Amino acid sequence: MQSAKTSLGDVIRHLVMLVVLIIFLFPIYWMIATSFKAAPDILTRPPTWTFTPTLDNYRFAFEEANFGLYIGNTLLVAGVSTILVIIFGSLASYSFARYNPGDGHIMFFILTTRMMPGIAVIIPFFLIFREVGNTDIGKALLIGLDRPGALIIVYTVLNLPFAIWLMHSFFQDIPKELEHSARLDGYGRIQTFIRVVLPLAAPGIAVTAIFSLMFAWNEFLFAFILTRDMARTITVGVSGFISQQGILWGPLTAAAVVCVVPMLLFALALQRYMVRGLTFGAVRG
Amino acid sequence: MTLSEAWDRLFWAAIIVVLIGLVWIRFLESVIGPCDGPGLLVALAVGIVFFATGWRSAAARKKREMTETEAKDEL
Amino acid sequence: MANLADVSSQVSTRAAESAPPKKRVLSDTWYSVLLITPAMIFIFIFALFPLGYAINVSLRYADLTSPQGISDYVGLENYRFALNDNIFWASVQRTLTFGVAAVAIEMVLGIAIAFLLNEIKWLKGLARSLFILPLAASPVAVGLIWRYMYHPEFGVYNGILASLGLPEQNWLGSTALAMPSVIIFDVWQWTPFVALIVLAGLQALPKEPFEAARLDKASTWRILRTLTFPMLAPVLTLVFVLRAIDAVRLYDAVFSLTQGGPGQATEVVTYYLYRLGLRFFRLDQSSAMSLLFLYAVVVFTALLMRRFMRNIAERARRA
Repeated sequence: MQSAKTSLGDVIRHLVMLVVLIIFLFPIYWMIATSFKAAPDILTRPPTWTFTPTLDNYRFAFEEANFGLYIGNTLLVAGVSTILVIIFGSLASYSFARYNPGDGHIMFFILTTRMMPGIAVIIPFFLIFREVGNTDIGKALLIGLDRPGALIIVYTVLNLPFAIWLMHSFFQDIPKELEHSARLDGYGRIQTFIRVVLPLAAPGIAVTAIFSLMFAWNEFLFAFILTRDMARTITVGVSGFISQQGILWGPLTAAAVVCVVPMLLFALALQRYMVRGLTFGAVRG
Repeated sequence: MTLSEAWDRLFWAAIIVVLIGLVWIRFLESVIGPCDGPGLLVALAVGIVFFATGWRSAAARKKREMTETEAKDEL
Repeated sequence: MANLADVSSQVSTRAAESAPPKKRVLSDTWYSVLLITPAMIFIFIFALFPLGYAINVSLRYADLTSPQGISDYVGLENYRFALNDNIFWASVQRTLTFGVAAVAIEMVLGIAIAFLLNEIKWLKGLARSLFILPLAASPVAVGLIWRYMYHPEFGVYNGILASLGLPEQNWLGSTALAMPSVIIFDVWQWTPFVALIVLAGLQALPKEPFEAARLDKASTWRILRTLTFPMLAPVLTLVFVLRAIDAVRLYDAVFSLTQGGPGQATEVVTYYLYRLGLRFFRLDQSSAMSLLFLYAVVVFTALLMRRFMRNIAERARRA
């Protein structure tokens, strides 16, 4: 701090940092390494650190366990719910940022819906979707137990509060003067929103969309209860390698890698906004 | 009382009503046996009193503020 | 940006229908209400409807394994059962134990790591990015990986312990160690959350007071106590609240690591509700308990978040 020269304290700090990083990254390394191990290498005592890599586990996950379908389902559910969240969320969020309807109370109510423990509302969801699934509307819109529509609805509801809060912070960053001058140029309120506000908020909207996607991709509880096999998503697929007969560790780790690594890449791409997203926009980071 | 203040007060009134109801069932009923009717009445009464006091103090405050601004205007 | 295009087209059709630009048909208030309506309808229907449904079921006799299914009203009987159910209260206690331990460790470690990250010179950016990784991973997927790593025979942790000459542990299999093992997993996944946010708070602190204090030759401890921590307080409170609320909702980690076992050593509230409602199908009792749990979470959130919410409202009013 005082001088540019490297002090002993600096060296110690970096060493500690290195050790802490290794501890925190080790499980991810071990997951990836195990996924390339052949079955005998996975069940050795003590565990092996060196091995000949093989793709057998991935082959098993995709060919025998139908993992491609689960990825497709997840992409469908996550994608559609994110689009809905962005459409409804950006309108509402802009309104809260500019006009503050409800004086904070509605915003707070929205936040509490996000804080709800999923398990507390899952039984009603389960019963309602079971009913709806037997009606014609439910069949046509694919809403019901083990149908993607059910998860799309659930993820939209779960992500809307988050998206409204996060985008709120981005909309507030847009100077009001820009909107005023647009209005003086003869733009209406709606034109101003579309032509001036939305382009300026585009990075925020993109960040919100990626966070929503990540949430839907990683969600487990609702997917586990509301789907069986047709609409199964990736996280439930990973847990499916646990059976009464035992646990297929090899394919399980391969599936976990497929489930986790894309999100790690998303997170790295988002890192500038990570803190902002994690705090619902409260800390700018 | 503004709408938002009223909502806030109502929210906390509801929280208090439920709390009294729960305490009633958990602790009082184990002594005097099941009787949820009176418990419900007591809880609701407390909630209404809580809301009403908030309402009245807000009304009084508003009246005071109004007279103060009137006094300022006259000055 | 397909999403943006969707937004624009939706808004412009609405514009054509109800609010032609330039002519003020709607006041600002009604315009703002119109904008939040679609989102609010969605949230209201799908958040409040299940809530109403749960309240209704909690007042009935509802055992899905019995032929009647959801049957007659029984008054507050299920709440009476819930409030006197020892298994329920034991699970509440486990949730609290987990929450207090996990959040405390995460706060201490996270703050320490944030200070460390703030002080280092080389590869600061890289270290910061790498810390994000545990956060982004699906808790269930990495939880299952940890279950393999905790494995008493083939697990890497026992392998490391053995090679160091230390006694091997039955991490998830013993009643005494199961809960600490779940806590360790949670600490691994969420300490980076605390560290990143506190680091952001540290970097946003103004420089001048610290320079002045250093000129005054104030001790490091004194600077920490009188400047750094008071100025960081809002960020620390926020992190604490977010972590606490999340810890209470813990489900994925328990599911993937222990399924509530061994015995009931790690059966937290959420897992007990799951077992009672979706394994034994006692919808009535589990709905009543769910609502009690929800009530506790809402009160907790409302008490902790009030100031936070007021700040947001203030900011919105000033804007």
